[in-house]
Amino acid sequence: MAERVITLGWVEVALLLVMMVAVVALSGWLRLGLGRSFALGAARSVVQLTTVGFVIGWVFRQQSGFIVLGGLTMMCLVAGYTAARRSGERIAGLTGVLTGVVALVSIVAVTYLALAVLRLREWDPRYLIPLGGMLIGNAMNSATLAVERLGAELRGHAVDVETLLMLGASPRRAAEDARKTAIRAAVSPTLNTMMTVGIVTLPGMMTGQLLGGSAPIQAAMYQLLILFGIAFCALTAAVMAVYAVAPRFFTPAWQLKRELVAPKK
Amino acid sequence: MNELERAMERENMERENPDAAIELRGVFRQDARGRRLLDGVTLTILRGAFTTLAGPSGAGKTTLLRLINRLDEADGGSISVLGRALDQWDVGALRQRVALVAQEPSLLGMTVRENLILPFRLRGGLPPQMQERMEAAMEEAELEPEILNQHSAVLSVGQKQRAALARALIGEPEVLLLDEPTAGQDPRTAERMMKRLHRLTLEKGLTVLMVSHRLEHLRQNGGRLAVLIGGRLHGEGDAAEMLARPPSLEAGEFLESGSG
Repeated sequence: MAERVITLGWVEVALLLVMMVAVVALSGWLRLGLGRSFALGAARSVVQLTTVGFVIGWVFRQQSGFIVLGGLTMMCLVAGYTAARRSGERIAGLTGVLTGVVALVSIVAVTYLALAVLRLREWDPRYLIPLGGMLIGNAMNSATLAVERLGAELRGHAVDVETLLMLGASPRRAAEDARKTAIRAAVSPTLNTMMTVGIVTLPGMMTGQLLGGSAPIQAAMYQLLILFGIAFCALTAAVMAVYAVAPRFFTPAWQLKRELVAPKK
Repeated sequence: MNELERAMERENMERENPDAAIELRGVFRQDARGRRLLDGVTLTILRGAFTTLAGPSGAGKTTLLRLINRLDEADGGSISVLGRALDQWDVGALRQRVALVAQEPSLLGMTVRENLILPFRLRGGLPPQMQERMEAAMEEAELEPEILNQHSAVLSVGQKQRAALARALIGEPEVLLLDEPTAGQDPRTAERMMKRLHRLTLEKGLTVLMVSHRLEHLRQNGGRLAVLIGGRLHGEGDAAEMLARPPSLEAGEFLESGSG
C-alpha cells in the first residue's frame, strides 16, 4: 500500500461547491428560507479560509518571532473584545478584564506546551499559531459562557444574594453559589467532549490530520495535546473571569448593583 | 433666621442624641427614573422602643428600611445608626447588629435549621448552646418547633416570615427592622407575634422599627408611631397620642382608614 497524500486544487474546490449548490437548491425547493444564508455561508467560507490559508502560508515562510507574537497578541485582543460583547453584560471595563484573562491563560498554556512538551527551539509559526489560536479561542468561549452564566445566576437569585448580604455576608460569600454554577456551566462543553471523544465523533483537528496523511497514533496524541490544553484553558479562564467579574456586580458598600441585576428586556 | 441662629441650629442637629438608635436627617432617595421615593425625611428612632412606621403603599417605607441597613444608598441627607454614621460602619458588622427582615420571605433553599445556623456560619463558627439559642429564637418568633427540619420550600408564607424573623433574632441584633412581618399571618398569630416583640423591647432593650399598614397592635401594645406619606414624614410620637391627635390632615385620614 503506497503512502499517498491527495493534494486539493481549485478544480477540487469547484467540485466541492457542487455540494453547496445541492444544499441551496434543496432548501429553495422546500422553501426553508435557508438558501440565501447557505449561499452566503459558502461564499464566506471560501473567502475566509483561503485568505487565512494564504496569510498563514506567508507567516510560515517568514519564520519570524515578531510576526508570531503579533499574531497571537491580535488574537487575544479580538478574543477579549468578542467575549465581552457576547456575554451580554454591561460592565465597565469588561473587555479589558476578559482580554487579560484570555491572554494570561493562553500564555501559560502555550509556553508549557511549546517549551516542555514540543520542546521547540525557535519561534516556529507552524506550531505556535494553530496551537495559540485553538487555546485562545477556547479560553474566549469559556470566559464568555462563564460571565454570561454568572450574570444570569445573580439575576435569577438576586433575592437570595441580597438575603446573604442582609445577614452580613460579604459580596464574595454572597456570590459563591453563582460563581460555582457559572464555572461549571463554562467547562461542561469541554468535559462532554473529553468524555465522548473518539467514540461519538472524531475531532476536527484529528480528522484534518488523518486526511492530511499523518499516522493515526500521531494524530491521536496531538489531539490529546490539544484536548488537555483546551481543558486547562477552559477551566482557568472561567475561574479567573468569574472571580474578576463577580465583584463588579456589587458596590464597595456591599450592595448588589440593581441596574446590573434588573431583568433583561 | 440670622447667621448665628442657623449655625446654632446646625450644631444642635449634629449633636448625637444618646437616646437615639437611628437618626435620619433630611434623607432623600430617588429611583432610576428620578422619582422621589423619600423626600427629605428627618426622623429619630429611640433606643429600646417599638416604633411602627405606617403609611399607604408607595410611601417609601421599605425604601427607608433598606437605607438604614445600607442595602441601598441615600441620594442625600445623613443617616446614623447606634451613634455612628452609616459610612463609618463596617458593613458586615452593621448588618449583624441591625437586622432586617424583608417582606418577601427570603429563606434560602435549605432546611429551617440550616437557615437559622446561616448567620453564624457567615461569621465563621457556631456558638456554644446552638440548640438552646435556636429553640429560644423559634419561640420568640412564634415558630412551631416541628418545622425545624423541613425544607424552606414547603413552608407557608407566614411560616417563612416567622422563620426569617427567627433567623434575625438568633443573632441577637440591637436593632430589628421588620417589613410587614404579619402580612402573611392569621390574626391570632399576628397578635402573639406583636406581643412577643413588644416584650423583647422591654426585656432585652431591643429596638424595633416595624413597617406595617396594620395598626391594630398599637391599641394593645402602644409604642411609638411614625407616619410616612408620599416620601414625607407626617409626624412621629407616642402611638396613642398620634392616633388621638393626628399631626396632619393626610395622616389623620390614613390613620382613620388603617386602624379601624
